[in-house]
Amino acid sequence: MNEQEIYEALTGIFREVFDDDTIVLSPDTTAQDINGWDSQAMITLVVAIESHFGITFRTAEIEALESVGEFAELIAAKCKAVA
Amino acid sequence: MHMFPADSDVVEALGAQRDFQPSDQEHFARFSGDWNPMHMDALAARRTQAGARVVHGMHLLLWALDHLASSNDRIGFLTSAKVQFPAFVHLDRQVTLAVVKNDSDGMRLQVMVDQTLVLNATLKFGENIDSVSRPKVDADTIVIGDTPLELEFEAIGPQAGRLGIPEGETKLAERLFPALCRALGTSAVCEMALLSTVVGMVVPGLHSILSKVAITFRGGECLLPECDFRVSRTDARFRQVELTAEGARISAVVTTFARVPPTPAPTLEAASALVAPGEFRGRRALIIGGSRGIGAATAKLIAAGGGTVTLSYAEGRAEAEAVASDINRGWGSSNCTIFRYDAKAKAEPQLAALPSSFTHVYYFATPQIFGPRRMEYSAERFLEFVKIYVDGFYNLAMALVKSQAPSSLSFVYPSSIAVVERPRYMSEYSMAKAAGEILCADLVRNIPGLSIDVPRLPRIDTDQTATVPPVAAVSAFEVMLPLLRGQRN
Repeated sequence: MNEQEIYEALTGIFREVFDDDTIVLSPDTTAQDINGWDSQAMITLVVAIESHFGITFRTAEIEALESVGEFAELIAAKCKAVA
Repeated sequence: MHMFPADSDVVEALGAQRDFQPSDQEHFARFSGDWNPMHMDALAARRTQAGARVVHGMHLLLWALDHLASSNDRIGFLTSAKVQFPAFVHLDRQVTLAVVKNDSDGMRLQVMVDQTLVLNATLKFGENIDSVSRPKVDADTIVIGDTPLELEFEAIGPQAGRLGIPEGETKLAERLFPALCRALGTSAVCEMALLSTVVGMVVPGLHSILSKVAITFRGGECLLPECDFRVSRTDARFRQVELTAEGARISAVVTTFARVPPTPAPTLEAASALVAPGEFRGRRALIIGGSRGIGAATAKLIAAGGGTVTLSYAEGRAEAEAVASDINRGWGSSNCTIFRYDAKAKAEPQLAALPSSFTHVYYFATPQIFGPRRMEYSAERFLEFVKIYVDGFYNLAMALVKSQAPSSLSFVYPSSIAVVERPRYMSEYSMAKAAGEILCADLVRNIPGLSIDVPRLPRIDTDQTATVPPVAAVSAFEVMLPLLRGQRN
């Protein structure tokens, strides 16, 4: 799965979770940029991303995530490891 | 039969407002069977992360839909509702309902408290779907009382069962939500309420938080409302629990959290294992805010070291009595006494009845720290913190300094690392603690002999800091013992 595919999938997940079709993600997007991205929304995101990509995050990995770019990098690494 | 209304016929329902009172909670609990103390018991709710009684999420949703149904035929054609509950709604707070989107795709409702989003619902409409039989579930009917189940997280996974609304209480649905019962049928309204009961009373039960529901409505004849439920997924990392529920008129996926139970009060026995006998002998401590959390832990440590403790409570008399009882039982004497103290009221009259002078004063009075998380700043919330962290401490310190020599007193004013770390949505708290630090520095500068330690405390494991998902916090003993040892005796 390439970076563009990951961002397309992430955009769909973010739009679904935050019920906002105008969300456009970039590697620098953080919780400060999206209204409602709090700790509970983060859990919803993680569960949706895990389900979509067939991967699992460890708690420490989730705690270290600060931006969409970091999310995408971690997803790419996990998908590569699974493949 | 109603015709599905064209978009142009849809009435926008904007600006509906109300608040929720204890009697409203009582009515909804009686109707639904959800008597979870987070909604019903002020003292028990105080020990949850909500900090006070909160409105049932499904009550809020049913009110919003009922209000819409009273002026909008479209609600009768509701086929699905996806609803999130991002924040608690406390009693007496005014909630405002708004329709923020309304087109051929559906409708989006939001309920706000001030600027905080507390309910977000996406509704879809269509011609009434055909009656689809409820999937058969092999479940036992659960008879619930008024006490919720308290399950360990590991025991949640296999839970399943069936709940019903007592026959007489369906009439209450028609009184509480008349327009919605007419639009969707009383059975559907009752079954939506039962989702609250499943979560609050059975699974996760006592320590639960409702996060999201996704409901699909079924057509068909009016049947006795029932709800078969089954845990479909658990995630121990986040203590998240997902349930599926099937009723005669609804099908639902419910996402919840199993809260971490309130932090057990630290015991004198545990404190005694850390403190040398007589280590704090001669210390006569006044602890403001000592009924639980860090104040209670400080009381136990000082008592374990041979000091005497006078501790105050604002609301939790029973909790303060339990702290004193543990200490006095351990010592076989009255080393600990309690009294009620309101940090927002004048200090002198409240201190007048206390038996003795003090050597050490610990000021742990606090309002609820973690509030709504969608506002960048609230002047009202800032002033609430200032009244206790600044005005309250000043009044207490001056009252004590008037009654005894400043040099005989050693204060601890607990500040916070939030002053430097500045966590998001905690501006008011951080600012008020910073103001308290300045006040302490100026008091020490202006009053010869006065000593005030102002430690910036980390996040400590107390009822106030218990969150979903769990966040790392250190124990109160671990933080307070070095501080107590560093003070002059």
